[in-house]
Amino acid sequence: MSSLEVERYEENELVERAGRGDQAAFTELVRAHQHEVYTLAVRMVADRELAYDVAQEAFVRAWRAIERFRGDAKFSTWMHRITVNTAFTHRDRRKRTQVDSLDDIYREPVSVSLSPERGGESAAMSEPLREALTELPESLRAVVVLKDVYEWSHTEIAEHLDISVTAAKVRLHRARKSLRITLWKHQDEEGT
Amino acid sequence: MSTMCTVVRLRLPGVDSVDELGERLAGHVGTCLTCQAEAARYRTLRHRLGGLADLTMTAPTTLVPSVVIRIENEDLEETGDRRAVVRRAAIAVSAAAGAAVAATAGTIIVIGLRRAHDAA
Repeated sequence: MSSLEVERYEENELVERAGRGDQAAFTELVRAHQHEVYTLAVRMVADRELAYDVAQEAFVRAWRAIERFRGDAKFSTWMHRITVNTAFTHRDRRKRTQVDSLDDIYREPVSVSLSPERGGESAAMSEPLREALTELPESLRAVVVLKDVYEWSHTEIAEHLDISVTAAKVRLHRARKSLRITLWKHQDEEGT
Repeated sequence: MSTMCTVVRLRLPGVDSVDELGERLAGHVGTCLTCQAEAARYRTLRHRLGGLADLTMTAPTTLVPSVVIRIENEDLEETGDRRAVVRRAAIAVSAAAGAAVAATAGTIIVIGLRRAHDAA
């Protein structure tokens, strides 16, 4: 068995135990997935405090539902879906209670861990991109993050954001166009 | 810039590869350096966005303990150990009752002392 298969096997074991009500096993899953769930939450809501609440709530929802988790998808994929749904519930709740104040969360220094094969290249290139992402409206950012970062299909995006597939495609088109303009602005100006 | 170039520019943000533009437009991109450059920009953009998947922010250290506390409480309240919930509630009630008794006793003593003082 490769190390990935071992990890998957161990994770399945934890999921199974958690499904039988084993809190310690579930805590191990939370520990293993906390950073990716938190990162996705930050990318969705662009607010660290709110992202913390979203991540916490997502894990609690997962605990409530884990006995029904069949293992058709990977646990991380399942957690991503729960996190996206939770993010949108929290966002809607916040919109009802206060005016949006999107901070410049992507400009804050972040602790990063990189897979060895993608290494420093991504780190060096990601800063202007993060800047450009902050400038996108939330509805566009959510779609482009889910499609191009997390590789969700249009159908999955539409389903989770409660929009039509056409709307998801239109938002993706606008988001990419906007990012392209921002990232190559200087080059375009020099060319004209 | 030709009409074909304009159409390619309009459609590029919505596709994942030039092939999705259809035979005619993809053929044009194959021969047009301007469109090839534009297609390369979108390819780079998608590549960079994909690279973000490997950049993970560190969650606050309190996240895991906060989740554990919440699920422990949920389990106590919703699924199972009603006795533990009752015990916890009883402790809270007795603490509050104890405080109330102490406050009342204190008040009675103070009143008693005042009366004794007035009588003297």
